[in-house]
Amino acid sequence: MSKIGHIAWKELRSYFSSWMAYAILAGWLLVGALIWSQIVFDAAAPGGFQIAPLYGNLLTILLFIAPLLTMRLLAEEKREGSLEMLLTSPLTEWQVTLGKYFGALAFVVAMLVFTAHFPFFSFRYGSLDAGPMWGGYIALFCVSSAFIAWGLFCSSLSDSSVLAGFLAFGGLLISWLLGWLQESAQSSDLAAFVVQFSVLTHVQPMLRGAIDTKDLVFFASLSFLFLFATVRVLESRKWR
Amino acid sequence: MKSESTLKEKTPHEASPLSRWAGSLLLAAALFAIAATVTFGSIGKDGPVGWAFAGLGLLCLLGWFLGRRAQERATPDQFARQRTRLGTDALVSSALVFAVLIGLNYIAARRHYTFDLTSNRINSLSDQTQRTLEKLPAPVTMTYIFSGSGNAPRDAGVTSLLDAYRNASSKVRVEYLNALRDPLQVRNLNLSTLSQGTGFTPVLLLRTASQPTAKATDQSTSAGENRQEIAVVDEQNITSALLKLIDPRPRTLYFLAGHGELSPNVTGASAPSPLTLMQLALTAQNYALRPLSLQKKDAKIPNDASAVLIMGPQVDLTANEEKVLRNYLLGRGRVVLMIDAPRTKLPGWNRVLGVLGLSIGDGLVIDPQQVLERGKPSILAVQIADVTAHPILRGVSGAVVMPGALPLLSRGNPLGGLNSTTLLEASTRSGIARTNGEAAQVFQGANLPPSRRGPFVLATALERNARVVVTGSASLATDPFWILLGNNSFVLSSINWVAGQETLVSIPPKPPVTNTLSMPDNVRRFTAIFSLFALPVTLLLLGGMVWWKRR
Repeated sequence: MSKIGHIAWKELRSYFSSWMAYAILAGWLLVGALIWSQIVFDAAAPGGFQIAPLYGNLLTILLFIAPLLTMRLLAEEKREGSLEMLLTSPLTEWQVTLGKYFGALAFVVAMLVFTAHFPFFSFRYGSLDAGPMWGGYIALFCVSSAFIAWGLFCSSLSDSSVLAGFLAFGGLLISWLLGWLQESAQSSDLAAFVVQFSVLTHVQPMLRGAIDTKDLVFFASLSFLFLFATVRVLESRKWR
Repeated sequence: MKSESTLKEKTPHEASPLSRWAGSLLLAAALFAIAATVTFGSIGKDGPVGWAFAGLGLLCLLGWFLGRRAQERATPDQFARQRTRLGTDALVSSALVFAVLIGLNYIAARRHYTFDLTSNRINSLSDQTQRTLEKLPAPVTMTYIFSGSGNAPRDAGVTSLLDAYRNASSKVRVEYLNALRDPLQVRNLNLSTLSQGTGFTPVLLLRTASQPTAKATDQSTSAGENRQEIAVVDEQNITSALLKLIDPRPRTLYFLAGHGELSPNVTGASAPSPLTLMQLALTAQNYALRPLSLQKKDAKIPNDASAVLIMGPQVDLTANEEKVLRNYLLGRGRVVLMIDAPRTKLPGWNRVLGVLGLSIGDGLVIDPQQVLERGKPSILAVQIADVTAHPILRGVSGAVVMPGALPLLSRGNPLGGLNSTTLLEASTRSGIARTNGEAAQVFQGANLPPSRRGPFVLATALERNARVVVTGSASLATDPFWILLGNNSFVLSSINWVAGQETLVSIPPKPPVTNTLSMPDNVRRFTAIFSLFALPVTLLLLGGMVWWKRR
């Protein structure tokens, strides 16, 4: 466990010792603030305001941020040849994978913590139903977990960070777009089946404040599946 | 030297062009598979485009397979067996993990629990609905017929409510039907409530296979299925419709007539009724409404009466009517008695109330603490002190608005061992006023005689062999007041309890939670500057510093 923690801590530190992490954080908060400002200005409307769109839009931004965070994780190590060193050290493939995964996830958690001032202002200067807010944070965490696992898997496939980034973004985009089939899902069994693989389908109830165990299982499975696949790819050097 | 040249000759690049493109072909196969899935899904039919994508995907997959084979043939391997074993291990373990995860999700989709974090539990169904769903004897199909552009309605409230029913019971199936896209299919459903004009009102149709013991009702068809149609899709109506599907036998409510009572239009007369909304709600709960006259000498309460409703009598009872009602109350009577201020003295009615240990006070209750709006002291908005005090109160969605409420005074113990429970009560600051001047005095806190000082009972429930609800206002059930606060849920709950239909006790609509924000201007400016400029710029500066240090 300490080995995983050590790798995760090293990854987190490497994020914060690069200007890119700060730029990502600034962009993330700026977009959040723009949506938040809109909410503040609309709050005077008779029906009050809804906090869910803030988290819904932050989820969309994760679509772009997750590949940026994960594309270098293994691809860079491969390109620089340091992965061989890492894997020949007394570390298992699982430890390397989980360490890098938790490092990236910790950075996303830090990003989420930075958005805490939005609900803080809502509670301080008004009344807010906490359900959709907590649902939003749980959704952001679950989606981040799955996205990072997928990004890590893509990073393990290539020694080019750019290629890994594009692959990760493409996959995430497809998963997002599958949610658009929801309309067709009512009339087509195939569409109804495919829609279940969309992140959007499992996130929408959370944004309404309804945390369903089946959605949690879906995200946990997705994260585990891609982590497992990453380990298999790393192990494949033994038999390819 | 010779072997080196042999290996060089057989490198994959030179072996076969197909092997060079194997990776790209696999990627193309995946893309074609996604394209085919999306095409089949969005069109919803087996169109040629989808099949073309699927065919191309298969071709690419075949190309990848052949390329891999060519690659393997071109590169002889001394450790082939060991590599094959490791590769097979990886493949098998991957397939196993994949299968386990699919199984896990399959189980999770069927046995799941929803944690509703919202303050008004907007995403949850009420306990009454959950109990009803547990009792479903056969699968129920809910078909929502709407008009619009897509295959699903845009009303998120309806879809999430129907999803909640589907998630709560494996016996519920939900489907959507667009009347504009499938008019023939809609016509085949033989909807009775479908609007024929240009405007289209969405309808929810509930269908289940008819049970052998069930007796057909007006909404059942002869095609071996029971059905219910709902025009206003909310939890109350859907659950009531489910209860009717479970037990489609109608129950009869009798409205006593002949004493100037308020009554619904159950005879088809053209005169407007002040109880139209109440009538609609009761009919929706599968009650048959009938008028009841006790004026004939041999008149009696019909045996099929689930309850007798007496809504604000203005004329006194005859001796025979008094006797019938008295005997009914002392037996297994089921009565809802709502009293409005009478124009004349009603000694017969007072004697009937005496059976219940009650009498009517002389004057209206004025309650400065529970007035609905200023300037109208005689209209009270009575808060419910304890919803657990009586089953009726559990289903009441808010304060009960009582126009011209009369005080129900205690006159000894009720006969027949009836136990009474106070449902609604005026506050200790209330008083009885006979004129506007006295009402003003009550408001000013004048020192009234003890007999005219509150608190006063405004509604009470009595139970033993009989079940009776008495309220000091009948007008609270009339159309103008029916829609206010908790009035309709109070009246429906009272009638359902008296009629022994506790399961039909009304489900109050969930009050919407409104998020409000009232920031002073300086705070608003601060939040805008802080979140839009200060925080992002600080982070950018930090990033710049890191770059400068590490450049």
